[in-house]
Amino acid sequence: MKKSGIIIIVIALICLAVVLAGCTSQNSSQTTSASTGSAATSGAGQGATQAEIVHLTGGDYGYPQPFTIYPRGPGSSKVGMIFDSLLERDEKGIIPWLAERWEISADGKEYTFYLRKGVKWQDDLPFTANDVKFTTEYEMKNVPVSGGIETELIDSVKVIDDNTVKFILKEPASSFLYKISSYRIIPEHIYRNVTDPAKFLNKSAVIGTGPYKLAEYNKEHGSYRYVANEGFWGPRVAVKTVEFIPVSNELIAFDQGEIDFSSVTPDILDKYKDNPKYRLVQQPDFWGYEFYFNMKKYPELKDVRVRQAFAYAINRSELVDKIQRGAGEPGNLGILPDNHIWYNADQPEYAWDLAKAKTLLDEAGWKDTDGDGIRDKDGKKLSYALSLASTEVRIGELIKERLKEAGIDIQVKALESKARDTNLKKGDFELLVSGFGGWGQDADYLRTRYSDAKTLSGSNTVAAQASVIGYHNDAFNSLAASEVKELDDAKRKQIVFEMQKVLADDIPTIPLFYTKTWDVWTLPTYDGWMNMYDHHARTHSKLSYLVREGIAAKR
Amino acid sequence: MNEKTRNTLIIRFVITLLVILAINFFLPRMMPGDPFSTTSSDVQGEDIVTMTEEQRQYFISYYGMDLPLHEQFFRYLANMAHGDFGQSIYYKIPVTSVILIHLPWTILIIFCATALSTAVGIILGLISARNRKKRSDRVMMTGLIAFSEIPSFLLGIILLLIFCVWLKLLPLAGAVTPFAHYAGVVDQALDIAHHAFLPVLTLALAQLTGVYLLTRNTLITVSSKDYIRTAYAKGLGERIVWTRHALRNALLPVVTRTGFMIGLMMGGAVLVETVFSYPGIGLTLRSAVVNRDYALIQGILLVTAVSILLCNLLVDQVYRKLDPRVSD
Repeated sequence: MKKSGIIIIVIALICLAVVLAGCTSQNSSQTTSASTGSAATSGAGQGATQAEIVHLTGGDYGYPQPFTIYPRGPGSSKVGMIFDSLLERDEKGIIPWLAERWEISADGKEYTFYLRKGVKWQDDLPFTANDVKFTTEYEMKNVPVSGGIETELIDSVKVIDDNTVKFILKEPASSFLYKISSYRIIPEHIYRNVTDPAKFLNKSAVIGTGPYKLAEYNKEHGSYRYVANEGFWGPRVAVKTVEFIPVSNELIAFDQGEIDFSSVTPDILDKYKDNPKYRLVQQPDFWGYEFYFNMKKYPELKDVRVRQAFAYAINRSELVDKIQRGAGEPGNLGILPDNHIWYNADQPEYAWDLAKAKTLLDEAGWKDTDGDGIRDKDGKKLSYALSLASTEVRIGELIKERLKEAGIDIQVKALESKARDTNLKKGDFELLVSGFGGWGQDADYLRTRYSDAKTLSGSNTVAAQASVIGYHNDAFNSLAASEVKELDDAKRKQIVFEMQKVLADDIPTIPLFYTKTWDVWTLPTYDGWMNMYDHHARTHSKLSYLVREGIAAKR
Repeated sequence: MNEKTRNTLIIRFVITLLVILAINFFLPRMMPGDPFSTTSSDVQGEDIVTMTEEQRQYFISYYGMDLPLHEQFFRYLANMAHGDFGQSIYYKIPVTSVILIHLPWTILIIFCATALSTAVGIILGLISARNRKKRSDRVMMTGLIAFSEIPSFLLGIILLLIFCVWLKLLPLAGAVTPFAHYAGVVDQALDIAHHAFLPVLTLALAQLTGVYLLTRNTLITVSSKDYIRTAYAKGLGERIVWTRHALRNALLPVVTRTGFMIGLMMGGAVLVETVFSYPGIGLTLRSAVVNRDYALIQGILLVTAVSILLCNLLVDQVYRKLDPRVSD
């Protein structure tokens, strides 16, 4: 048996070597330039500006109309290739799209949109203001999976003439234009006869005004083929055909030439670096992990000194190095990530500082009286269970190690992700970590997450940016109340800057880190990939597939 | 089989089915969360849909989840009686369509893999048992045991690297070539076989050692029995004694095991389907659970449970053929 044991080990080692060699064949040096921003690296200059065909990672995300896509994954960007919104987003901000211009009334409740003339649906019927009114009223009865608008915010929609439409709101909402920019308009002449759009799966369900037509969709195999809409009203379409095909391992498929765009793990960046064939760029940091305190259940966490001690004791840079292998950015206590257009660099930093954490806890009266290494006060120990998903255990272990040094005891509690989500929503946790995207969105999310004053817009948003239970801050609430009414962007930006400062002082939650995934694509195939100012994934931008001219000109 | 035993058998199956239906209905609903309150991504960078509380309430009532639980259950039973499995919450199409789209692929790879691993396992087991205590037996046994220690997803990745990346013989992912238009049925069958090859091989290799060891060990036990000595004494050749007398008796546990394995292989299929991005039901079940798609979980579990019941029934029948003592 001894002999066979050795044979087993040898075989296992050979197999392991094979796998490692295959996965990380050029694993020479770690990259350190991860934090230099999204404008980093790559060899040659300009690649192909137009392409006959581009292949991308597929997978089934549902039939690409607003009511039948799946709630997870890039379904809504697949809808966006076919359907247009009144406004669109480029790298800098909101741009005119189906609406050429707009006016906002002084009280912030009336939005008048002047629509582009001569726009046609893909079945050649004209697009008019009636379609906009119809979409809103239809979606009050039939809620789309994504790309809808908070209908409870809207009082009514009026058609002024064929090319003018007016939205009347119940109360002012500063982020209304932003919401409009992902609000897909559907054709009245098709959908008015559809009683249940969630079961509407035939060809006419995917007729929009957008740059692409759906040529083929296969639910079973997760493949989509989009072809350019010859009658598109807007900029020229740069990629004639876009095919989404199923892949098992994205990077292998990319190396084999099956797809033309992929994300790259940090340890094999060298393979693509300084290679004239590829462009290698980081995504903006719009996806991240947040660390929550349950202040409702544990009143001692209401003490700001205790929360600040957590912020000093947890080493967020270490998390970026060890969990993300550099491809990330430590969290800002003002919440908005560095790449956010309204990020305020002038805010308290909270770099890892064990001494400061200890001082703060001492000041708050938490001392280790019984010598077990855990601080206590009035018989209560600073000891908590940290709930997270089973894939995030390593994050939990690192936090545990650091907090232990400050005298705070943590038990890592791995849950199935949906169970964790439910506990967060119900307030049934002690400490908790959760990861989600959307950190680049309109800064109004600071209000919906951290203000407990109720308003119509985004009041009870349940998904992603779940509001923080048990947190109350009067100063923040009043800033938030003026933010939601402020229509002047420059003034609103100032308020948002203030909001970040208040949050960074008060620490309702700790953003642990944001991810900055590396993207790679082949220059000779197509080089038109761009980021919308609010979103991390380049293949999700409509403008990535269009020639940057006219209203879509590069800014 | 007389009428009485047949009736008890039917009653037993009906009761089993009812219990399964109840478990299928209540278990998924006992998991924390609901299909519309996702607040975190499954993987880094994944987009998830944001919803207001009003929108969430809309979807809850759209899928009838605002009714009392017992009422939902009776509705479910009534719909089942009409053959209506309900609407998938995540996929937005009828549950039967989801199952019909994905189940055949899983059946294909599980069936082929079971056939392959059983056939090869029996042959190897026979060779090994006949050469017992010889060098070839030892080598085969150590090799296969070592092999079985490799987890099937790792095995899948190794095969993928060898056949798809280095040799470039086989496709990387999927069950068919995307957007393919076939010249004929043969063309299509070849394409499917081409894509199914590695998933089948991976699953089969993962099961092979079990069949091999069982066959070998039972054969060795059987070979010392009196009737084998008798067979030799009758002057039968070694070949006939091994195949007709020893193997036939040794096959009983192997058949039982194969029957049970079909259910277990659903688990292995999930891993293999993930590695090869194969559109089977295993991956679909996983996403149904992650997204709390109650209707779909119910449907898939029911189909799985019924097919395991049928497999057991089938095993009973094969058993009777192999061993006359079992049938009364």
